Amino acid sequence: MRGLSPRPSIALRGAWALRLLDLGCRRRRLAVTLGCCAFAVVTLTILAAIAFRATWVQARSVPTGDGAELVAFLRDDLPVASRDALTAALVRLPEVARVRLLGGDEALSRMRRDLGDRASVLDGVEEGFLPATLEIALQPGRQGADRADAIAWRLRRMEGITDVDLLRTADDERLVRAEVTSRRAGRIGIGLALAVAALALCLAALALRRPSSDARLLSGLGFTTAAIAVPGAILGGMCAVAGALIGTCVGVLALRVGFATGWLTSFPSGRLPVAASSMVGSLLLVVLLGASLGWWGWRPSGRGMDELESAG
Amino acid sequence: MEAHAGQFLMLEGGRAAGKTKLLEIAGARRRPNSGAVCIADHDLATLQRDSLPFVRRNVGFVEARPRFISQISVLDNVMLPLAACAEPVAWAREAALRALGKVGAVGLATWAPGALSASELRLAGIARALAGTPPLLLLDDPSASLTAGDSGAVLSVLFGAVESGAAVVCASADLAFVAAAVRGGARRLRLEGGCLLGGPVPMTPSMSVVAGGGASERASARRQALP
Repeated sequence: MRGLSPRPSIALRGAWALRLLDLGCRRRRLAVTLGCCAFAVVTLTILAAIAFRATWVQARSVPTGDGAELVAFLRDDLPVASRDALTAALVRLPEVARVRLLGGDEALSRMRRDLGDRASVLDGVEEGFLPATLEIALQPGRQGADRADAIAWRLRRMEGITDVDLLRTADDERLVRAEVTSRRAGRIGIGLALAVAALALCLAALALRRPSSDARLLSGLGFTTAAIAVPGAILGGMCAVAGALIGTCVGVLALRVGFATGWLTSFPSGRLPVAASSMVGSLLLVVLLGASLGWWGWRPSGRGMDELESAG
Repeated sequence: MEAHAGQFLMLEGGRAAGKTKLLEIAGARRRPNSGAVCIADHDLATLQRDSLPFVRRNVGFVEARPRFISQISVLDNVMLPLAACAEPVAWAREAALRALGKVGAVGLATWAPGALSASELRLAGIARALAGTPPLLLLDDPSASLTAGDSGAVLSVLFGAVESGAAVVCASADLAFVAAAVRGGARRLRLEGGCLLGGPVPMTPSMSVVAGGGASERASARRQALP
């Protein structure tokens, strides 16, 4: 009579033997699982590329000649005290680096200089032709191409300011449009990627689930709980890791192609723009995916054995 | 009811007599509502749940409708009880082929279970129960769907197991099969409405299955049988 007390070494060796049988009969399901995991990771990687592009665009600062990014036109009848108070209020804004008051006469002189040989067109212009303006430069650091838009919106609602003009070049306008587009694409991509990841997880779980009838059969033949369920968990984790590696390689290739074709603006340092936090997040995602697949592979096996032993 | 090593018990009974349930209880596959089931002096009720698979490794069970894992071949299915014991793959394959040969089903080794007929499935199920040379064999209607010749072959294999020291408990509604087994020396028990009739002791409230042979003795005997 074989021993009735459980010996872990025999249980694990039995699990190893069953795993070999699993590999033999489930090749097609394993291939589907691997493909689903790889597809999910590829989609998430492409999403990360889209999100990075939006972040990179956002990081570009708006270039100006003398540093001013906005010009606020003051009301003609604004008292000097009010003008000074408005200037002081703008300086206190956290986004504002400096504010320079440009009187009407000074502005007219600058216009004459800018016109050069054609300055004669301003001959005979009366005093007060140009209003006083405030030239506003924003703080350096993490800039946003559309941040000036937000500040301009606030300035237009301040008492004493009639209009606000943004000093933008055509490149700046293009950057703003690119940033907005990338953000929208990123949001849509997040939703799609999560849906794909969920679909891939369900497909993989279905592929790895051992039917409860098989679990009952194996339990009746003397396989332990671990021997029946552990192979599914191990295979699930292996598929998740393998799929993640394949997906990561394809994703990196997609990033390379994106840089080469110019869709992704070249990163100045020439390195891959993968932040450490993104890599940690990807690793956690792989672990979570593997654990989830393993749990899905374990549960039906346990349920099958419960049905076998509770039948009465 | 008691079954000892080297003993052949033939349970006879009609439909819904309780033959299948009795065998499932004896094979630690179903819990009894009352009473005790002992295998080798071990009361199954006192064993932990995790120990039951180890009890089942000592029982060769043939269901009324044998089930197989459809994705693997018949030979791999017959090897499953040996895989549960973590036997070496090569030795397990030899033992499985030997078991298939005993029931005349060697030709089915590479087939998929889905391609087998009912009689072939039954022969494969019997081979799977025999592959591990368990000390206790429980068979539910083993002659169903079999020809007279195959039934005779199965009976001789069962008597061979008895001679080797196994305890065999067989349930059947086939009167001819029962009669042949009794002529060969099997002890006849009749089951009606869940109660044993005609035996020296009524079935309830206890059942005991006694099988002999230490694990090391049987293991060495198994390996010496290899060519």
